[in-house]
Amino acid sequence: MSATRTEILKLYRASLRAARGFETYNFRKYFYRRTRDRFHDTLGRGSELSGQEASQALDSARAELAVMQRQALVNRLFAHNRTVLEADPQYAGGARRAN
Amino acid sequence: MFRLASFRLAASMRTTAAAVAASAPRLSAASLIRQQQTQPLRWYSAGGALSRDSIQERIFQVLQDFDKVNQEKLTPVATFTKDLGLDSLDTVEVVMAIEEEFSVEIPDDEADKITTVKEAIDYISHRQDAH
Repeated sequence: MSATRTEILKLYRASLRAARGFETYNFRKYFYRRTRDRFHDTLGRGSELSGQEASQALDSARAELAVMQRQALVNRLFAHNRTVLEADPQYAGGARRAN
Repeated sequence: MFRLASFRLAASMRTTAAAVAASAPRLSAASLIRQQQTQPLRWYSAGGALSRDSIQERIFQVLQDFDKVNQEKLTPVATFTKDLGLDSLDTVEVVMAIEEEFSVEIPDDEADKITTVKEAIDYISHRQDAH
């Protein structure tokens, strides 16, 4: 498992970036949350997984990354009005405090 | 992430816009402000580099908003994994949140090297485009 440790972190970072690329607030938050939960549930406890389980989890994570990248692109192409929440700069990046 | 930056800048620019309008009588302050609201600009000449204190304060803010961080041990020299109780996946999330806060993109190999609060502050203070 340790050999693919950096690979997993790299995949995780790429997946979070892809999730962040959605223009629609709800999609963006959903995919970010989903990616985070999936990774913590499966790949996060790498040492408990058998080699086969781990490689399956990695493969599905890679497949999902490709889907997310594609769908985020489509979502950006057809972006429309932001939600009321996002119009307020205080919450632009999500639930964020004012500086 | 540029969206965030432009929102932040817009507030400070509105005051500068009034000063610019005073020196250029042909443009009214109102039209300038209207233009800026529709068309976000970044004034690269405005302001200086971020101060170390403000970087530290904003990184602390990011870490305070992160649920899993052990708040009692949050100091400028804290290690993400040992002191703050984060695992390697959480560290990736923290670095991503810092990216978003300062509107920069941190390349993978450099993001891997950020393992303490101090390293994060150092990295951001060396980035010219952080704001």
